[in-house]
Amino acid sequence: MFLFIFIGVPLAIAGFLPLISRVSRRLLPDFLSNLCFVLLLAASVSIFNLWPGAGRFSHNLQWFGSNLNLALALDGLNVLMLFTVSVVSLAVGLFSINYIDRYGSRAIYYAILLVLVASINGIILATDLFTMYIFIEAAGIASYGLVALGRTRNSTEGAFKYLILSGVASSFILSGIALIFIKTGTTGIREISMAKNSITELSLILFIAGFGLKCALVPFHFWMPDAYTAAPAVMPAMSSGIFVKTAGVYAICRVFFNVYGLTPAVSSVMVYLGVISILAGAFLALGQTRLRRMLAYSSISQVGYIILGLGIGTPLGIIGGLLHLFYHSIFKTLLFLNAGAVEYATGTDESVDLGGLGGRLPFSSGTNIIGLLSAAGVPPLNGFWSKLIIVIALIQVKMFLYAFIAIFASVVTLWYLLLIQRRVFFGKLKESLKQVVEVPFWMTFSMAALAFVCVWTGVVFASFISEWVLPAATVLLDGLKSSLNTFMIGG
Amino acid sequence: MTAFLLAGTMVFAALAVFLKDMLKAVICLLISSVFLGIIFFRLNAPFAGVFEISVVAGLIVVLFILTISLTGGQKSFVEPSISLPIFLVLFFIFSYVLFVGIFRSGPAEEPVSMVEEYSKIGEVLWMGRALDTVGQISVIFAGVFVLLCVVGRKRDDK
Amino acid sequence: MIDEYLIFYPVLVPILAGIVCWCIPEPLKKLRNAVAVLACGFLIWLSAIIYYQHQPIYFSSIWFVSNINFSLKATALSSFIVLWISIFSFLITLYVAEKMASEKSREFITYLLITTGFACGAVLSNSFVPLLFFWEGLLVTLYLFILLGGKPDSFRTALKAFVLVGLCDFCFIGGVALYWKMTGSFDFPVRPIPVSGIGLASFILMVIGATGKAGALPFHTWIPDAAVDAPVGFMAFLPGALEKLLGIYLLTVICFDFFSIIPGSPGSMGLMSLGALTIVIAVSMALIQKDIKRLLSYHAISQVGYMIVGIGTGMPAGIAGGLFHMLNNAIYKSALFLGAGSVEHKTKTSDLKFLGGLYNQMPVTGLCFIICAAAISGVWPLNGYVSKEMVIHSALETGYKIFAVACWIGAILTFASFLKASHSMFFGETREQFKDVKENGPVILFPMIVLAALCIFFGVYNRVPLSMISGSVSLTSHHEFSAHALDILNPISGITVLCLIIAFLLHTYGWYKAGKKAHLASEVVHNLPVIKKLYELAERRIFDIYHQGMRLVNSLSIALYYGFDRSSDWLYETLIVQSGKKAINSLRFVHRGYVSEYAGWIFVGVFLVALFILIF
Repeated sequence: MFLFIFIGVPLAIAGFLPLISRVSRRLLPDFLSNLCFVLLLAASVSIFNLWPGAGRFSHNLQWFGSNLNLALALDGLNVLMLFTVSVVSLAVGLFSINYIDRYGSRAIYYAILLVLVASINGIILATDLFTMYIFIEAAGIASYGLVALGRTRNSTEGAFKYLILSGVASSFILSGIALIFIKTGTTGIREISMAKNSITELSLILFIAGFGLKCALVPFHFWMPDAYTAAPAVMPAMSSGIFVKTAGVYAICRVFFNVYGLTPAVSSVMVYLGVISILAGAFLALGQTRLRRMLAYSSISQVGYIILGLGIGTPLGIIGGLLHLFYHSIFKTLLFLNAGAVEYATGTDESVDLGGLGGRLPFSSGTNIIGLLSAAGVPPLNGFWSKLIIVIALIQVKMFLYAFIAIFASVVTLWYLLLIQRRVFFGKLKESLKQVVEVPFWMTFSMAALAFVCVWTGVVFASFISEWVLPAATVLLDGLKSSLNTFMIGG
Repeated sequence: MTAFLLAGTMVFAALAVFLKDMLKAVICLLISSVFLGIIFFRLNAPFAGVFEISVVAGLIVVLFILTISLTGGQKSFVEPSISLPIFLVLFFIFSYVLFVGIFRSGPAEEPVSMVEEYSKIGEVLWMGRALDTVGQISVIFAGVFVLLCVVGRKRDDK
Repeated sequence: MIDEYLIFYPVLVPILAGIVCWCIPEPLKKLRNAVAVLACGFLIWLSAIIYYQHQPIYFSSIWFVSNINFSLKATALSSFIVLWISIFSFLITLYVAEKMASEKSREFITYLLITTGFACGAVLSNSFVPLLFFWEGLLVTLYLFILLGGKPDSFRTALKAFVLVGLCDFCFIGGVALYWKMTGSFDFPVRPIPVSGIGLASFILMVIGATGKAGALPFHTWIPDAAVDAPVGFMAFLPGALEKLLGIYLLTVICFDFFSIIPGSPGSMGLMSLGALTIVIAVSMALIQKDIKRLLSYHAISQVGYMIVGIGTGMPAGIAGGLFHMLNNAIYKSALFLGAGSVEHKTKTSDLKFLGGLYNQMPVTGLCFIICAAAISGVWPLNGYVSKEMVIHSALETGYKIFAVACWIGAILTFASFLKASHSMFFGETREQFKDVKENGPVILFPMIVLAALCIFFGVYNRVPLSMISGSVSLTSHHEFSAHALDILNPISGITVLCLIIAFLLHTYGWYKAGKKAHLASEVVHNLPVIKKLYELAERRIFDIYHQGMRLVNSLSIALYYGFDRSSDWLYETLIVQSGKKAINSLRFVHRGYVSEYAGWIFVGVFLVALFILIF
């Protein structure tokens, strides 16, 4: 029953919120949803402590003794993902307390956010590819709602593009699942990995394209910049922070490592896509002046690192990729929230119109520096370690060119992020911005907390790897065996 | 028959991308989803079909139509004409590969564990795929909230 | 049984106290000073406990990565050094707390406490990693300290010190890296390794690091500049006392724990030559200085030479002499700096030309200064005499008389220059403007009195400190060094005494010659034909490696700027920026916002992936 709270509780609260909003328009929605996020964070930490440390455990829920057929599974990878999701969603939830005032009904907004979190948790805990697909769809619709929350025409247009292109992704994924179903007659992860000859090239291609679209790898990345630019800052924070990580990266991990087993072909496709994304994303980001658009391209580049690390397939590469997954969730959420704070304070996120805000927005400026240094991989902040591990893994397998590209792109990352920092926060304060004041408490609190996590997880990266990332990497390294060794535990 | 349905799915999906009129594009998407749903039913996957039709064909399309009618989006996109032929060529190459792949792969040799057949859709939902039902609930929630949000905003604007 | 965490406290307590002092605001200045003084007092108590354990204490815990240990060790030698570090920081804190009324005292006390903590950490380290950590930390506090001077050139001097000491530290890191390559471990070795091959390179680099920290040639040139530009408390604390303790401690450890230096080996010869050169050159520079603080700082360099010679002999008596001289030097040198500082504080000048006849106004300060000046010159029976004798005896025992001769030359010039300094500061006629100068308060006098008393005590009862040191020189079980310590009736002591007499005559002659102006007493030496030229060059900083290095770097950078940078700028502007812009624009061209185009690209991607997988 314990596992189900990750899906059930947010969903239930989401259902009640619109009703509650008739009683209390502000306080109760704020309180209830953030309480829920805190609860989920506590639950994910306690799951880490309860979880025996190895193996994949399947929970089949019971309700008064009768079987509910609600099967959820937990292994090292899930534990890490649940933790990531909980941290990011709590930060976004707290940030929203002040931020969401300008975007319509608070209760509805929180309901969408909760559904998004519930669906993302569903993707993580599902034992069945088709269930995963349904939750991906649900999360996709919820993020579409978040994009459309913006009040401009652009946001509607961005939302539309997002929905069309993610529809393409869904159809690819669904076709892939269908092909597997044709072959094996089942969609359960464990059953498929038991089956012989379940792999067809076609389904591989479909999955690569589908999940590639979901995690915005070049050349499947087109929806991301438009959608992120159009939406309020919480959407890119949630999406880049966790939705891309679960619907894209986590799904790729599950399908290609645990269902198919990593073949050399898939491995090299992942490496190529990763490298192309790193380079193209970094260069595209360099040319942008809008904060969120630049961060969107930056996300493409950083997700490239994750996929590159995972694609190498060596233990070190996988550890680096998963570490970067967690770290990127933290610092990219932080950067998006910073962009949101700037927009909240000034009304624009076009960096050309901004300048010298460092004195007016000291908190946002400070946390933004921490975030950007993490993203660029400056020691001892967190991004440094994961990139370092990925580069070492690349050198280990003698891919020197890619290692060079990875280092080069991180220099470019530092370049464009410093550029934007200078344009927005440093320099002379523009006349039009004299009236700007620091953003309200909960926004600064949430940003400061994320910045602290950035620094802290960077400092204690060694123990973080050994306690959180290593079990997750073991799951991927075990490949097919991991999903076969599923132990059933009654609810 | 499956092949024709698949072809229909593809064609309508392509149309959904290309038609300049948003409303027509959305309707094409609807038809494409319905075809896909039928394919699922035919492939002994009634539950998949149920979800495809209810989720994609039903909810998303309703969302689309609502958004478009609210924002009057039909005049906004002026797409260059050059991309269409390129896209079509690529699309048909892709579809060809897809078809060849499907026909080559043929039917399953020996399905490992065929899911038990359930007689009614309700049983399918409840007994076989309980978690999918939860997912379905999430989808409906999300859809409803997004609708509320879009409509509510529209009201605010007025 | 003693708690192993005990030896962690000398590192932790001062640093924490420093942070606390930093946080105490200006109105509560008295509280801050009290906290600092109490923390230092507590530190003395702690280190005394550690010292009197009479057994090594080990502490080890994991530092970030699992295979590098944060391990500390308190041996007889290191706990002895820690004890003295804490005594000095106590005395200097006391002095600073009373004297520094300016707004800088908060920073000064904070830096002082943190420096103390780092110094204790460096001395107690039992592994290269914490050693380097604390060592580099000291570099940073050094830089910050000099900046506090607030003089126009403070920044430049701070930079100079940073670069020179940083260079030495860099050499030390290089030496550690080579050492690690040989032993494969960052822990201190159980057994010393021979000086040969890579070991020789490592040894040389490490010695540069250690002696450079202590202020030996040729990395000494920042000290005289700092004497003018930095607060006097700093001079008494770091170049006067702490850096000697640290550098010589490290040198001892390098010579006898990391490597095995035996008497007569090339390593020993090299060290002794370095020491002899340092003595002679620095003391000759000291002789002609007209500013008391610059004069003292050159002596701070010159005295290091004796310690290096003593340790370089490789013989127990020499090592003990070197260590004892290190301790003595720290005592009288910081007292001299404090004395000079308080004179400057009262008279607002440190130029010998304008001082004079202050003995009547400031009798206690003057007495302390004179005792310490006599001690540094090696007057019987003060502590400087004892340690210099030990060094000279063992230098002669190695068979190379040249080193003993260098020591004697050093003794002549040291005494001559201190005669000049004391004479021109405290005797002669009292100047009009200093008539109403008053003696310092008791809190300022206390450190000086204690140190001067120690000079006498350690000379007469040299058995006490020597027995403490002999436990540290672990070559053989036990040595009785104090046998000939105060024996004046042997030929070697005779020569030393002769040197002092020569120095006295030299000073008197110079004094008469210069028309009874004490501050010009050294002009006799200054005006000797060849030497005058050399002095001119030295005053123009021809021999300052930092100055020359900076000139070289400057001309190099100009050459590079025009030869390489401009041309590569052009390449960068035209080639990289322009083509980069083109590339980015062409990439952006793809993102025009048309869904069908996007879909087209997606299919291209799918197609390529498919092609790849099917072909693979």
